[in-house]
Amino acid sequence: MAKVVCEHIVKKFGQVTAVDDFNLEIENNEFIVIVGPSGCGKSTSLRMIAGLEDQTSGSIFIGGELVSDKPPRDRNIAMVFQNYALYPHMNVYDNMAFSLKLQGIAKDDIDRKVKEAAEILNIGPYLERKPKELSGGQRQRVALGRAIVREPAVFLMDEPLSNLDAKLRVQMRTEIAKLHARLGATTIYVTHDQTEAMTMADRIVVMKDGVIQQIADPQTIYDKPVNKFVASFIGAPPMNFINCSFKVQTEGLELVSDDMDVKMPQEWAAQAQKYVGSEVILGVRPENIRPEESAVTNINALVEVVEPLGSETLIHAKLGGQNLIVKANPDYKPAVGEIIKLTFEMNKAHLFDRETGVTII
Amino acid sequence: MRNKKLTNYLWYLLIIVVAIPFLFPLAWIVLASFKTQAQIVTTPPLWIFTPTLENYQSVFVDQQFSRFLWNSSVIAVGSTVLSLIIGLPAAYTISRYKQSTLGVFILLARLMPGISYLIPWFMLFSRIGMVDTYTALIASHMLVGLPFIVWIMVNYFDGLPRELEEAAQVDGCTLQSAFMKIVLPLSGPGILTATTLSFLFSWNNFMFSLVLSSEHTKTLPIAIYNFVSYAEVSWGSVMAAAVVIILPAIILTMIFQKYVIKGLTMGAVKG
Repeated sequence: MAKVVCEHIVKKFGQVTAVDDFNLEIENNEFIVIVGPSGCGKSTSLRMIAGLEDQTSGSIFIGGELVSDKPPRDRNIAMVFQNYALYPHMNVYDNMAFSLKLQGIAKDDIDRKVKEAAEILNIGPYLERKPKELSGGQRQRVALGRAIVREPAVFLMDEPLSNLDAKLRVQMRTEIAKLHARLGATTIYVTHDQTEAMTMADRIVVMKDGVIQQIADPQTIYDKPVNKFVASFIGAPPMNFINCSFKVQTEGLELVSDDMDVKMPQEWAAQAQKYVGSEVILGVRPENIRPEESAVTNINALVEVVEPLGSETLIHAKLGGQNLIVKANPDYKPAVGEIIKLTFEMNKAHLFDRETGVTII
Repeated sequence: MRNKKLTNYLWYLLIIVVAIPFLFPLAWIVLASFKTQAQIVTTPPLWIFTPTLENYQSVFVDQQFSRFLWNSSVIAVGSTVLSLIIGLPAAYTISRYKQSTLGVFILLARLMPGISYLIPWFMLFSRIGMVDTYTALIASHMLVGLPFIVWIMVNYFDGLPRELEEAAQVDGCTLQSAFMKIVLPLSGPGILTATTLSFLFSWNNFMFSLVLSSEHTKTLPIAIYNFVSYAEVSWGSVMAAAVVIILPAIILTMIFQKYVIKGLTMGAVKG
């Protein structure tokens, strides 16, 4: 278990900056998830912490020790790869024992450690099998087992569940969470799946185009995104964004768009003052929209698609020329082509600067 | 069902028709190696005869073919082993570090006609007194064997997932030990292909051996000319010598044919 510190890490590939000024402090035993779309630099960042990529500039500390120029074998880390990277010519036992043999550990100790890890992961019956004789989920367990036996200071996981089917992914997510609770090891987990990030992380690092957008616990990321990108990336279905403009009315400020008229909450007035007269983006999550009338909002949306999911109904609607998704009760099923009235829970809505995407409120 | 059977029969017939021009000369050589001179030149050809071992006796006892067999073996094994020792790490570096320019230079050696090296090789080795030595012949055979090995193995290493070596490095390997413990064991089929082809090239090589070898290092393809004189050609001995030369090649190919075919077609189809 160790603290990991990344200071001003930059990675360039020729003229392309893949990671720009990456700063992160990970506490002992913390489970950090780095999330972002493909090509955002999350795997590159993880590989630099692992020592598989050299950083262009910046420093990396593991357990208080500077490891920036050290090879992977000297960083006291273990890594789980997206495609498992099990050695095909070795059986499961030898895959898990490989690193211990390299360390010169006694045979009896190797045997004990491998069998302990195999028991934790329920792969005891497969120790004599080769990787090609295992299912995807079993291989992933072996990859985890190979990491566990090393008792490293830091676990690094690079999209370990990406190659599994949806059901197995949910199961393995729980397994990894239980494993972390049991072992208490510092873990850095990379994924493009925001559900994995939200369910597993102590803190989430959201990245875009090589730059960290926000670092916070899952609930803060969800409730208080710092910009439109973070707001759109976290949450399923994603947040709705409505281009609108401020209008000054006698009763106060209003946000106006096609078929939409929303009274702005009083508490927004101070922060939003400088945007009066300009174009902004209103962000509302699907679960914060109710299909009913209210005194503060006048919203008419055209129903295009209705998706009954059993536990809820997703309504895809059109607001003027803009798309909207509403999460409603399972018994509410409007007809396609129907005009419905909507209410936004403005205390949970956000306002974003149309040019920069930065959160105003 | 009948159509499928008919199609199968036609395929087999076609295979036989195509195979005959390749297999017939081989069969002729083997049969002739057990015939006397008179039996070989008889027309019509004799298919039923009493076999004799006198040709093989002539080859191994009178012509001391064992010495030429030893020379060919030393040179073929030596050039193949040295080509592997140099070529495998070179191919790995070209593959992993995208050293395509270096790869092209190595392949240029393969593309140049071998005969263009002969005069410079002879002048160089005769200046330093190395004509008719194993060193000179091994070095010259490596000129083709090494690029062959590099060419085949670069493609093979390209197909191995990099994550395996990265996992090995995280587990505690250096780059070199990851190469030895993970990459090489997984490259068995590619190495077998490259080794077989490199060995066969060296074993069958005539041109370099003709110029650079003499009494001490004469190889089998050169030695076969011992049976050709102004007076006559000792066909039986020539055929027996040919069988001795061909046999290792056939045995190697039969044993490793699965890997050779796979190695040569590797990369043609994804997966």
